[in-house]
Amino acid sequence: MAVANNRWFKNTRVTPSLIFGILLITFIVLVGILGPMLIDVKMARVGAVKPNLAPSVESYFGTDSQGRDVFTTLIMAISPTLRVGVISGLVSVMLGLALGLLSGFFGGWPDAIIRTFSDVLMAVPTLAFTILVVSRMDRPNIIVVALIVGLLTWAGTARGIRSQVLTIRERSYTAVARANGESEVEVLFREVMPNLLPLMMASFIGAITAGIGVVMALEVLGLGNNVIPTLGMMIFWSQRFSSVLRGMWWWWSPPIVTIAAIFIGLFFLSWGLDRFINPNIPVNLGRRRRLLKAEQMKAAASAQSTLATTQQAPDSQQTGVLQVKNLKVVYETARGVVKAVDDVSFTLQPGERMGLIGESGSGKTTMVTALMRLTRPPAYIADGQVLLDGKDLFLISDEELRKLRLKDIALMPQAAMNSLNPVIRVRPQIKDGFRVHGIKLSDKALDEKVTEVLRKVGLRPEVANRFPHQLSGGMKQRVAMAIAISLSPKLIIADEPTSALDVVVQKQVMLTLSRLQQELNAAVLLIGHDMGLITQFADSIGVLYAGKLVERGRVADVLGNPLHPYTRLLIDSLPNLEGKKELFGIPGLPPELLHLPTGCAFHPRCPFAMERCRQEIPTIQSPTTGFDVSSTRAPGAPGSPKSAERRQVACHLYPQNSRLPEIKSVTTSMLTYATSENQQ
Amino acid sequence: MLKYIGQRFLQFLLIIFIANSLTFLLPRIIPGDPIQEALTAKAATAGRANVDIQAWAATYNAKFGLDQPLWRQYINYWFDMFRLDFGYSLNDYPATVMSKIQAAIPWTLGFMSVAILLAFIVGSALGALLAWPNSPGWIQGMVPILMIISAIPFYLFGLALIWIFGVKWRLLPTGGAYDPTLILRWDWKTTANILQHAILPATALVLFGVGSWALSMRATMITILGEDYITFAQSKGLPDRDIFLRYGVRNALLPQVTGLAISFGLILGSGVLIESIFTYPGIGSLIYGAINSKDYFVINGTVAIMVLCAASALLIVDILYPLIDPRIRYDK
Amino acid sequence: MAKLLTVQNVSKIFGGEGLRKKDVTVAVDDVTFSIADDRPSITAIAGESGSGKTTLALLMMGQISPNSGQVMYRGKDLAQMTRDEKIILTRELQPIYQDPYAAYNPFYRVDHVLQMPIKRFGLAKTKEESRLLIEEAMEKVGLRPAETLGRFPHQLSGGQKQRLMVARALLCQPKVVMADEPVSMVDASLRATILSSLQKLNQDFGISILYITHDLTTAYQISENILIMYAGSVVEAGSVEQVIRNPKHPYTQLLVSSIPLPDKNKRWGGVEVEETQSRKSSGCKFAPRCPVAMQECWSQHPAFYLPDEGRAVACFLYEDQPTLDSPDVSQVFLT
Repeated sequence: MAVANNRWFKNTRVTPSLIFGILLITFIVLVGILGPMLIDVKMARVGAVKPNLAPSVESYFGTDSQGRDVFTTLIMAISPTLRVGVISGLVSVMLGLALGLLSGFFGGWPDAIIRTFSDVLMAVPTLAFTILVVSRMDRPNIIVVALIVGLLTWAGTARGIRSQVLTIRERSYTAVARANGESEVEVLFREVMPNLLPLMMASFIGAITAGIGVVMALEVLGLGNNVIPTLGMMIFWSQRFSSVLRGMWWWWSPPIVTIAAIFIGLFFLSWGLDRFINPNIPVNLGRRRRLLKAEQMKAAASAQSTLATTQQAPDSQQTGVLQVKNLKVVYETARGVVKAVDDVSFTLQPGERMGLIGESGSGKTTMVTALMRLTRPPAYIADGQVLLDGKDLFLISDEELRKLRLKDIALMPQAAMNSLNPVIRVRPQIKDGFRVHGIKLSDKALDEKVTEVLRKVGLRPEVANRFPHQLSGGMKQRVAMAIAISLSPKLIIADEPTSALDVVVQKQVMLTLSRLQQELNAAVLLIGHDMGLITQFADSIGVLYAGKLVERGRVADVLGNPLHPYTRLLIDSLPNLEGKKELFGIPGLPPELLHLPTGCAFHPRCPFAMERCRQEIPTIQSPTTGFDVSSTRAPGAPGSPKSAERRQVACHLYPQNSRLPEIKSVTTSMLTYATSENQQ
Repeated sequence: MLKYIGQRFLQFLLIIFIANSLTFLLPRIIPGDPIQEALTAKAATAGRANVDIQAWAATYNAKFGLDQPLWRQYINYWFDMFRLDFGYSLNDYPATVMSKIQAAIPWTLGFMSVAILLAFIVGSALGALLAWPNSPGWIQGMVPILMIISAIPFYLFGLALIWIFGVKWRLLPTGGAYDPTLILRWDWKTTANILQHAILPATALVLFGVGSWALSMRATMITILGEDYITFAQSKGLPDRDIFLRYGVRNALLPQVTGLAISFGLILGSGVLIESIFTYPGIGSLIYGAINSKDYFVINGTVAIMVLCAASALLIVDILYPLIDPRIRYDK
Repeated sequence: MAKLLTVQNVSKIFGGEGLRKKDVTVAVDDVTFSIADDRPSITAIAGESGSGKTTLALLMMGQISPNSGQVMYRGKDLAQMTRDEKIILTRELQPIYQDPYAAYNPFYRVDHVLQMPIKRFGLAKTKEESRLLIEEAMEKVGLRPAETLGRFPHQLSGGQKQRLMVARALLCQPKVVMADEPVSMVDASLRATILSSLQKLNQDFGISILYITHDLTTAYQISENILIMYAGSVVEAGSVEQVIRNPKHPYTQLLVSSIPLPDKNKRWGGVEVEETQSRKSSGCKFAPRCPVAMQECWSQHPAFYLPDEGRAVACFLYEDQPTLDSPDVSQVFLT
């Protein structure tokens, strides 16, 4: 299994913000540290030069009212300002880490006490409290001030660390560590702490920013150490001498610009760090996205032109209620473009129940969103057509598509998802389906419709008044089902609708779906990974592997005589209740879409692999006549789409063979992993 | 539910207790006699350096009860707290601290709350729009600008604004809440004058605020727009605007409003810098003046009021949140 | 028959600390069950979510402590074990968890999870020995060390990670392995491999397996005996041939009939049942959902009856049958 990188973090997510932030801060730090060595520091003392001079060649930023050279003072001031920020940041973060860890890891009393103090700190205005203490000091020691600020600002970090620790505690690797004999303390330091490093870095930057902010505020207010120049002191002195009103812009603007630069640098650094660490924040991949967009438009344009030449038979018996033609969906990752759905074609007749089975990496989830044109970046529809009753969903306008949704094609979402708006009750979420599709009825009549549709899915009317979080998993799915059937659509796409439900509830939900399907005579596309479920519910089945459709046919036919080796091995690996047998799964590893093998994606795991399989990708075709069903021969002719369509397979064993040979034994010696020879 | 309110209220009391105890302790731990220092400072400015400071200090101490043992002072402190009696201003004796606070609060509250609210509304609206993937390019281009604005502390804006509008172009007044020569009355002239003086400080605040609120709203909205119920809503054929408002913004508002409430809680504290730069006579200036004249009672009293305000805001947030988030309001 | 691991009248309650009555959940309700010492067995504990199966397993492994009752290992009560005894317990009772993605610390390479136990339990003296042990364990579960070691967790597939977990468990030389839904988050085509490696642990290495699952078909395939749990209690127990192929408790029957079999000739039977709000029963917990509930079911708890050899049912339908003399339901297990 090839690996793209050998680092702890998955992708590099270096953004312009991060780079800009690092550069700016580094620059300022260098100026602050090296600057004082390169200039004449005496010019920063009071009375060193003639006061109130405007900028000139000798004095870049002019002089202030106390006789200091502004430029020199500025350079001298950077380091103390940064220093205080770093010290208070360190104190704040160290305290925050320690207390957050204690709080999150041990819980109980320590947690309660720490949280109370953290709440107190939230209520206490930091600046005011600092003023309270510092105002008593004559010449506030910069270190002491930094300490005080650190002590007042640890709460934010602690809260973040605590919540992260709680999340980590849930993950079973801490339990595994204990099972490995690690003591509690070891688990804390060896397992939990390293995963807090990213958060710590981000908190550190935030704490530095806050530290500098508070200290600067103190100085501007006049509570700073009057002797050592810092940026805040410069602003204070300039205010004291009314530099703004006197128009001495050269005195107050340089420190302000420098401060602004520091804060901006810190901000971008922290922004960039967030994106670097957190895999959930989408990173704009810029150029590639624009390229793919262009491809998408090209695909749409070419499809437009073939539209004119191909015969569009409006009769859905010929074209089916859903016709998917050469669908290609790709998505971008930081490591390359992945073909999640690769040239898939199939047809669904009105009232037909089709199951689409696939494991991880098969592309089934991507397919669902594509069928409803809900594909969102980083996924893009690269090619193909999806015809609903002859109408190409990819070519119609957004408004037309919107009208079709729910009314003609409805989605029943995955059971594990939160498909219902958590802050609105069930009733309006059912009603808005009606409302948006132009059903103009009185409120009362709409309410009756809601009750009716709930009853159809076996729920009592009072469910409509509940909020989603008050319903069980099965009930939520039934609500989703109610919404899906509310406008009697022609096609229902059920995306793993029972995957998170208990087996008893699952059966109930599927029986209800079954009945509704018959009542509406709607076609249902059931996506899943459970062969048993699909067998019980569906009439026909499609098997997906690595983004391609590898077998298609009636369920009974495919079960009884699986043609594709993958299907065969898959069925054989299923446990059943017939009697105990030897268990064997499909050897090898599931396909890694970024590094697919050459030729047939299944060949490294296939007991019948031939040389041809390594070189040529098989196309899906009728097993007997070898007829390519993606062609456009006139319907009805012998060997034409309709008659051959019922059974298809994508495998080089056909049409020379009529069924799979016997599998003598499935030994791992015959099967190679996707090693470098087999890959592109 | 009642139990929940009870718990939160206890927490509120606990916070007040701890915070105010700290307010009591911290200044007293630091060595030095505040009264003496204040008097010294006052004497120095008033030019009467020959007066016997010690005697003067003794009088004050007796008057303010500072010569009593610490625990006695602590109990008296709490008694005073209940009556909101913070003693007398050292600087402007016989004016009470409370009277000074009362004079200053309306200015701060009035000006800051309008600024915060404005910043919140404009910022959140902007942030929500920024999160919508279909918004035009020029809107998206505002993100870096907003990032920069929100990074810079607002009082720095203030200085720049004073210079540009107050000094260079002489359009707006450079400080104060109203013209010193004006007599305050409830009439149009007064109001106009007050508004005129409030424009610059409010602008500084709003600019900064818009940046922060917009970015935080954008972040929340982006997370929410990635949720499953958005996809399902789209699959129902709901128009974009409906989804954006009822499914997106409606959910994003919850954390945002919490943030707003907390901002209001810290309202008194946030104004310190802006008011000192613009010499706006609110709580901020009050503290600023007190720092300079070492008027510790005013400082203590002001901080205590700030804590009360912030803790109350937190309590209110905790009580009101269940009202807007049904997940907390209704049990299973 | 000496007992290796026993839970005796254990109960576990969650949420009982001073909160309202209705927040309290009885996860495990007075269960007694043991694993024998003389021969290694594979026992399945099956039930839906909320049945208490995972809690029971955690109690048995000593990871949580019961509110009442005892957990005993080799005759010693866990609550009274010394620190050294506890360490031995930790090594001899090893877990395999459900989520292969969460079971590895993303900060370390996967080797970390194999090296730690060797260090902590003193299983090898030199680095060389350690490496050999690891490679041996991996090969026994069918993994190739060259392709798996030295990698970070995100570089391996779910199936590989889970198999590696089995290797890790094996490495510790345990007596009992608790596998909590080890294949539910793994692709169907890879499940059989992992399950057969569990069987190997049992057959070739003499380790007893506690297989926690909601999937009766896999339970049937690899276990000898099974306990069916509902709402914290055991409702049926016995050999898998009896319990799964011929279930007698109405709940077990419901479970088995809900399994979607990949066979068009074995259709789901059954009627749609409306989702009803359950009445509370002070007797048999299943009464509100039971199609054949009788009067007494609502007010009394059924004992364990023995309608056949090698199976016990807690249901009044069989009350004319002999009862179990002691609460340990594993007595009925066929050896």
